[in-house]
Order: sequence, then C-alpha cells, then structure tokens
Amino acid sequence: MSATLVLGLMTFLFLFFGYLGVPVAFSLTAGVMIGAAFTDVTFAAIVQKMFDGVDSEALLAIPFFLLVGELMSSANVVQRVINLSLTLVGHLKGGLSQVVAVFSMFFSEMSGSTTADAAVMSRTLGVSMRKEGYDPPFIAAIIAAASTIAALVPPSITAVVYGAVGNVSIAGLFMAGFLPGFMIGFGLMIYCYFFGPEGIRRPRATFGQFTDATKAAALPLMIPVILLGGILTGWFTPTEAGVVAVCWIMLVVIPMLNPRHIRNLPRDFCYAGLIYSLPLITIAAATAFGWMLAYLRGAIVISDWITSLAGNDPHLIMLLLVLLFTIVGDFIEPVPTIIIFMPLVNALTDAGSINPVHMGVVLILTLAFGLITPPYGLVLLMASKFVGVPFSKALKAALPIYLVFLTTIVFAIYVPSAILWLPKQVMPQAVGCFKNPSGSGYICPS
Amino acid sequence: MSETSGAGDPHGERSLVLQRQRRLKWRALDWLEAVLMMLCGFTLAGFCAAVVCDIVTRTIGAPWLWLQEVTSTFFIYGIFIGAAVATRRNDHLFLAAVGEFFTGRPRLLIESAIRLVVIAVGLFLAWYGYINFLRGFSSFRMPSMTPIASLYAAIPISGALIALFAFEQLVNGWRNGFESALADDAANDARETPS
Amino acid sequence: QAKHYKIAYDQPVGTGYGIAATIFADKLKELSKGTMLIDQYPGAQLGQEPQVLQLVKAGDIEFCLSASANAATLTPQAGVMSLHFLMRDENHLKKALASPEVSQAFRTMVDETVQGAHVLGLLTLGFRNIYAKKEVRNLADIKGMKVRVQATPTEDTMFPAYGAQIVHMPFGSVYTSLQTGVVDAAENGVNVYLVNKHYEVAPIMSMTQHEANNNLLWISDKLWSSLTAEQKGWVQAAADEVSKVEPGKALDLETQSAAKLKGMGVKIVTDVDKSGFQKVAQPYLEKMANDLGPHAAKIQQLISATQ
Ligand code: NA
Ligand code: NA
Repeated sequence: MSATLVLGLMTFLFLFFGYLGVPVAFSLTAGVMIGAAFTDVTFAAIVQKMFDGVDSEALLAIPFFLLVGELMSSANVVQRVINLSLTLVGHLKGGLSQVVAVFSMFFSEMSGSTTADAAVMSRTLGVSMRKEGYDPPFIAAIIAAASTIAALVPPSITAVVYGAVGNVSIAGLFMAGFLPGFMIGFGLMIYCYFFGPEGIRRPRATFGQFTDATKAAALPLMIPVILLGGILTGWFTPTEAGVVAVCWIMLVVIPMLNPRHIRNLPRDFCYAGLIYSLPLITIAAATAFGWMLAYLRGAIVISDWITSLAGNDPHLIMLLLVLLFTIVGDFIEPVPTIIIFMPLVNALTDAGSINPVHMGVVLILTLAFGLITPPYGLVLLMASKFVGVPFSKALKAALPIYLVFLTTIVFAIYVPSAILWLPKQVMPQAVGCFKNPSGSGYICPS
Repeated sequence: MSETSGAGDPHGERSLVLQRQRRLKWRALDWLEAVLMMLCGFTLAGFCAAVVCDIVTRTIGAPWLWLQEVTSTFFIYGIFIGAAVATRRNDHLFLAAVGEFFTGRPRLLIESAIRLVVIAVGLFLAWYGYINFLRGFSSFRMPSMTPIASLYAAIPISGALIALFAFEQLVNGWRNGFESALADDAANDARETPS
Repeated sequence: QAKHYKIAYDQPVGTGYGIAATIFADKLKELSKGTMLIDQYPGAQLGQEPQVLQLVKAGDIEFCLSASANAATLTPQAGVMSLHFLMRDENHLKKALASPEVSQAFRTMVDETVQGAHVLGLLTLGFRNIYAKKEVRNLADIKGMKVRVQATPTEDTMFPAYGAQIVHMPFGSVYTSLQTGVVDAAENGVNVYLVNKHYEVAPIMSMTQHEANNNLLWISDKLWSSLTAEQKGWVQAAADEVSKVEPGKALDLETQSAAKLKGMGVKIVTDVDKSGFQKVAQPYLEKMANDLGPHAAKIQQLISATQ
C-alpha cells in the first residue's frame, strides 16, 4: 500500500473511531496500529514511540500547572478572586458577563488548562448568571470564550507542549502570550458592553470594598507573581516555577484561607494524578501518530505544498498554517495537533525566516480559537454541558464572539513587533537576542 | 484539555471509586479502582517530592544526580496508571459520542464497538508493550545504568488493565443495558443541576 | 531494481551529520549503480538518538548516526570515545578515525556486545568546547561552575576532577537552563552551538577541546544479514569513505561556524591554556578505559598510539 494511502487510512480510522466515541488516545492508537500493519514498522516500535512521546523533560511542568488550578478550585479559594473581579467591573453594563472576562484574565495566570477554567467558571459564575436571568446559551458561550485565555496567558500547557516539541523558548511563548490573551479578554469586555445582555448592574464598589476584596484575594494573587516573577528573573524554569506555586498553595494559601481543606489534600492528589495522565496519554498516542507521519514522509508533502503556494512570504506562510490549524483544530485537540504537525511547522518557520516565538503564539491562538468552533470545540462542548444547554444553541450565541478572535489572530500575524515587544523587554534571549559578550546591552537579529 | 471538577463535585468525581455508570461495573473490581487511584496520588506526590529535592539539592550545590531518574519513573508510571483507571471511570478525553443520539439496537452496536476497539488497543499495548519491555533490557538509563525496561514495564501493565476494564463494561453493558446505565446518571444530573 | 533505505540523525542537514549522510548516500548509490538508495530523515524526525538506536536494533530503521556517548546506552564500553584529551589535536583526530585498526576494534566491540545492530564506521563533529556567559581561559576559571554534561560516567568523573559542579539534563533543556542560570555552562561542538542558538544564552565559547564529538554510523542487523556479500562490500566501502572524508569536512565546518559566530558578535576564546585540564585528565585516561572493559582499553591504546 502506498504511503499516502496508509496515512489516509490512519487519519480516517482515527476520526471514525474518535467520533464513534472511542477515547482520543485509543482512537489515535488504533489508527496507528492498523496503519502500521501495512508498512514495515513493527508494532513494538509503535509502543516505543508512545513511550518516547512522554519521556520528555519539558512536559514535567504539566502536572504542576494542573495541580495549581485543581487545588485552587477544590479548596474554594477562587471565590476570593471572583469577589475581587466583582468589585472591579460588577457595575459595568453587562454585569456578570464582564466579571467572567475579568476573572478569567486573573485565573488564567494561575491555571494552565482551558478546560479547568471552563469548569470552575461554570460552577461558580455560571450558576450566579442563571440566577440573575442571563440567557443560558450566552452563559456557555461567554464562559467558553473567556476560558481560552488560559491557553495564551502563562502558565499554559499548550505553550509548554509547543515549546517542548518544537524546541522553542517556553518562557518566550509565555511572555508573548500576554498581549493576545488580554486582547481577547478586553475584546470580550467591549463585546459585552456594546452587544451583550444588559444584565444586573451592581452599585459601583467603594474604594474600601475594593481594597478589602484585594486583601482577601492577596494570597492567591501571589501565585502569578511567583510563577511569572520566578521565570522572568531567571530564578526558575517553568517546571520549577510550577513546583514553587504548588508549595505556596499547599503551605500558605490553603492553611491560612481554608485550613479545613487540608484533610482533603490526599484525595486532591489522587484526582490530580488521574487527570494529568489524560492529556499525557493523548500526547503519547499522538507522538506515535506523528512519527508515522514523519516515517511515511507525510509532513514533507504538506510543507512542500504550502511553500509552493506561499514561497518565502512569512505572512502568507502564517496565513496558510493558520488555515490548516483551523481545519485540523476543528476535528482534533490542540495538543495532538501540535505534536503531529510540529516537523511541518519547524520547516515552514525556517523557510519564512519567522521568529519561532511569533509563529508559536499565532498557532496557539489559532488552536485556542478552535476550542470554541464546531464540530469539535472542546471548551464550548464542556461549557454547554456544565451549563446544561444544547451545543448548537451555545454555538449560535458564540458566533458573534468569533469576531474578537479573528481580529486578534490577524493582529498577531501582521504586527509581530507588538507580540514580541514584551518578551524583548523582559527576556531578550527568548526572541533571538543575546547579551553582548564584550559590552553592555543585547545584540538582536534585525 | 482535561475535565476537572471544581466546587460542587456533582458525581463525587474525587471519590476513589466513581459511582457514575454503576451498572457497567462489577463491585468485585472496585478495590482495584481504589488502589489505582491511590497509586495516582502516590506517583504524583512522589514526583512532586523528587522535583522539590532536585531543585533544593542543586541550589545548595550538592545535586543528587539520580533524582532525575526517580522523577521520570514517577511521571511515566503515573501517566500509564492514570490512563488505565480513567478507562474504568470513563474519564478519558473524547472527540464526540455519536452513540448518545441512538437508542435500542444501534446504540448497543455502537457501545459494543467502542469497547471492542478499546479492548483491542489494550491487548495491543499489553502484548507489544511486553515485547518492547523485553527489548528494553539491552538499553540503559544514564547515569545509573538501570535497564530502560524498568520504565517500559508501565505500558503492558496499563494495557492489560485497559483491556480488563473495557471488557468489564462490555459484559455489564450487555447484561444491564448501556442506556439504562447512562440514564441513571442523567437522572442524577437533573437532580443536581441548579435551576 | 532500486531499494530505498532510511537513515535517521538528530541534527539538521547543514551539520557534520548531514555531510556524513550525504557522502554515504552518494557513494553507496555510485557503488551499487543506483540499486541502493538512502533517504535522509534529519532533525530528529524519527526520534532522539537513544530512541532511534532502539529502533535500528529492532530493524524499524535501517541506518542511523549517533554520538558515541549515546551508543553507551547500548554498550557502556563505547564511552571510551568520550575520554577527555584522548584526541590530542585535529590532526590526531582525523588520523585516529581513518585508522582501519581503530575502526575494526570498535566494530568488534559492538558486534560482541550489542544485539541487533552493527557499526559500519566512525565519524566526528569535531571537538567539544565549553560555553558560558564568562570566559574559561584556564583550569582555575571552571572551578565551582555548574556545567551541564552528558549523563555518562566519563563526564561525571572528569568535570568534578576539574573542580566544576555537574548537572544532568537532556539536550533540549540546555537552552532554558543556561538562560535561567540553572547551569552556568554547557559544552558542545561549535556548529551544534550555532545551529541550536545556544549563543543567545551563553555568548562566549572557550575552545577547551576537552573531548571529541565522535559519532558512529549504524546499520540494523536485520538489513545487514539480508545483504549479499557484494552488497555488504558496497555498504562497507561507502562507510569507509565517510570515515576518510567526513572528519576533514566537519572540522572545516567547525571553523566556518566559528567565523560566522564571530561575525554575529559572539566571543570565541581561542587561546585557552589547556595544560591544566590535560594534567588533571592524563591519569584518568588509561584508568577509565580499563574500568570500562577490555574492548575500551584496546581502543584507547590504539588511538593513543596513532601518530
Ligand atoms: Na494560563
Ligand atoms: Na474546533
């Protein structure tokens, strides 16, 4: 059987089993397994590649980033951050929808997982929004859209995987993710102000109420300071920053704010131990799938096709990749997409002389958008399930919000100087500059 | 990326033995789910402790070089144990569940097909994972020179458990009906959904 | 009719690995009159070196290039090639790798200790040097520095002997760790340093040349045993061509890379006082080769005796 046919069969089987209801990791494995039967590859080699996929140092950050969000929500510490968000924007037109956007901008800096954000918001703000009479499909849509910020603003599991697999500075991706993340956050606020439901507006919080809420949320708000401060000053790698944040929550935040929760910690660990394995087993299976794609030279075919259309024009290359990732991301999850297509992305990043951090942020943004688009918009699916509305209705409510994402994506492609501004200020090495060995300042590629 | 529970915890997701889809499970295997969940917690805690020690010993200038091998051992076993127990709890990531739109015989066929695919993948991981494990005796982890088979072993163990749990669901689904098992949960959901 | 075979390596095409793979592919095509064709899989497309070595042993990939340090995951005695100051200078390095006796001794060692794969020949990426944010001009400069080293017993012995503190981590973490100060220094070849952009986080390379970056060309036993005597002859002759031609070209590439780095503003310290390092390393050379095993001892003697 020809290589193209085998790849086609693998892809078909993966999607077929996947949409039938076989877990993603197993439908990927089944596709690879059957595909490999038509090649010289031994089955044991497939198992080895699954192992190799998770035997990677950079992925060690993932359990910590999940654990931070898990412990925060399990110990009920998030309510303090919600209260702070309320005093900030509760009086604006749109009421709680504004709070969703602002809370997500806070919580995204503590949580690395979009679905964790969606779960937390659905179970807290989502419930309050229903009580205040918001349209349930809109609740699901706004919560899902706001949750995607977690993939951009550090810490971000998507960025960790992208950096680990593509050999791109994870800290650089983190810093560059801030601007598009906040563009989406503020874009949602503007959307809610002009086009969203009126909502119940609270009286503007007094300065005293604001300082009280800030004080109450101070301990959890230290988490982004630890995570970002540690990475920025060069004290910690992303993994180490995750460790320190987990220690901070376990040794300071929970004992001081919710000491009764301490006895639940063993159970939290069991559960967090279970959920961190879910993305990683998917990474393992996607690695075997991606390996078959490389072995059968599939990535080269697609990248030749893109370069034949785009030449070396960086904007065109990025647009075509965004298109490809939008299509692929409509069917599969961000993490397997990144792993399977990374060889292709690396080749095209070189061909267009694109800054790898810039490329990474644009693609992560595209994949974040894919989380709320049909047919497979993971976060929108989850939010509609939690809120209890049909996916199709939530989707309809989400459609106008797409404008916020599309604007941000176009901006990110065409204004790399803005995207790379923050990393260049705080960690010039992350975007290709290096310290002048015989003088002061940095030498940057032009 | 992964489903996490927050405040509320409607299905008792954090409990060691999940009560969701009770009719698809044998009580006789509950102890196994509980043990595997505890192992998930143990591997995660061990992993965290090892990373903390790694940072501390490196910072004070007396690094324990073998710690990184301990870290990856916990990390890898945690992943494959978690993947196994998630099969029994139906906690995995799904693209979609077409089956939910069907009832009766088509539903039975789809639900059975899903379990058969998972059993096939589980047996595949168990058998070829075992062959890979044997291969792993001639390759060594640096610097301790432990055969990498010590890590590869996680995969066949996980594969066998995955096949076992999918078989459990298949048999119970045929016996008790897949739909009625899920209908119980829907009723529970309805009771707990805030109005 | 023509048959296609895969060769995997984990550096981009424009490196010593790419040079070696191209020499091998061209020569084999020429000798076999176009019946044996090599398809290249550069840039770790098929996996990192220890992983690819496993797949070559299993017969899933026919050929691969690997560092001798990674070969030590299969046969610890291969660590002999990493011994510090085993290669005295560039000339000695070229001669040692082209020596039929050295090559034969190495092949015998692999045949007797590794199942599933066979070594065809030796190649090199040149010498390894130390890079950091500060200069390392002599032995005193490295005292107390945290250096990322390959996780092998050789490095674990030698760097502490120089007074440095060692840190193990995979190659992929070196960049971030230099950036964050988890390590002060790392060591590798000039071209590897350039291509992986490690100069961005450690802009000073000191040419300590403490060990050679020696590499091996592997073939899977599954393929090797299926070849006719004539085909084996072609494959071996193509590999011999690599051992003869590649070291010179790889060393040229190192020089070009150093020139390019200087042009970019990176500092290359060429006048390192190596005598202090050599003095520390000398007593270890024979002792560590003997500790590794009889094959290692023999290879060390053959290389040291090469003039
Ligand atoms: Na985040
Ligand atoms: Na989508």
